[in-house]
Amino acid sequence: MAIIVNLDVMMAKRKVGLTELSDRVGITLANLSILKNNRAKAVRFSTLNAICRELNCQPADILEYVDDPDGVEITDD
Amino acid sequence: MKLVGKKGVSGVLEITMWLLMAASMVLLIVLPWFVDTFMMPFNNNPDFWRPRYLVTLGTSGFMALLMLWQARGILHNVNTGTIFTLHTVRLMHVLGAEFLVLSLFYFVMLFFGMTKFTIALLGLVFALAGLIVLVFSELFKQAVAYKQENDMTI
Repeated sequence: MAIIVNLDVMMAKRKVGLTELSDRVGITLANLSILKNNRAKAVRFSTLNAICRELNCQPADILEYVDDPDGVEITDD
Repeated sequence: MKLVGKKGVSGVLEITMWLLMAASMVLLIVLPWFVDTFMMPFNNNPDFWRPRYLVTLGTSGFMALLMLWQARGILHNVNTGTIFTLHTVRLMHVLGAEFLVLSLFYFVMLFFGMTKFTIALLGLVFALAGLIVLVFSELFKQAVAYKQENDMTI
């Protein structure tokens, strides 16, 4: 996947721990860990909204597109 | 009436599968005695029919035991809330294959003098059931993929 989640970078900048962020955002620690470690397949807008609200940042601060020439392009077919 | 769960219909069905498996095992063990006591006295040609009855009923009973084991496994997954897993897909796949194997056996027995209409009908029913279960196993496989996708959606 070519989308990188930079949640750990933003959490370090705002000095927020994983447990605290999961409580404030309202998702489980396990799910937040999955997101932080780039293992999530999709993110709901509501989750992204809550993360940006709690970390006072923009979605672009959390999500980054990296051109991956060796990766497989995922389509909705 | 609760349909799914250990205290629902599926829970009762799982227990029923265990009881049916126990009954199948007992019947398989006493099959030769059963055939000799209840079927051969009324038969004009026991030398011809006895081996055919033993093979047909024995194979049917053994395959039924295997099928009940798969069905019990599927119901156990239903009752423990793990229905949409690759394990369930595998159980359904094996169950469908067992239906088709039994169907093939019945069609083969047609050539060994078994009562044609009954055996042909049984063969057809099991063939259809097997194909339907195999199709459903593929649908379950897709459902597992959707669930995994959903589980990994944060």
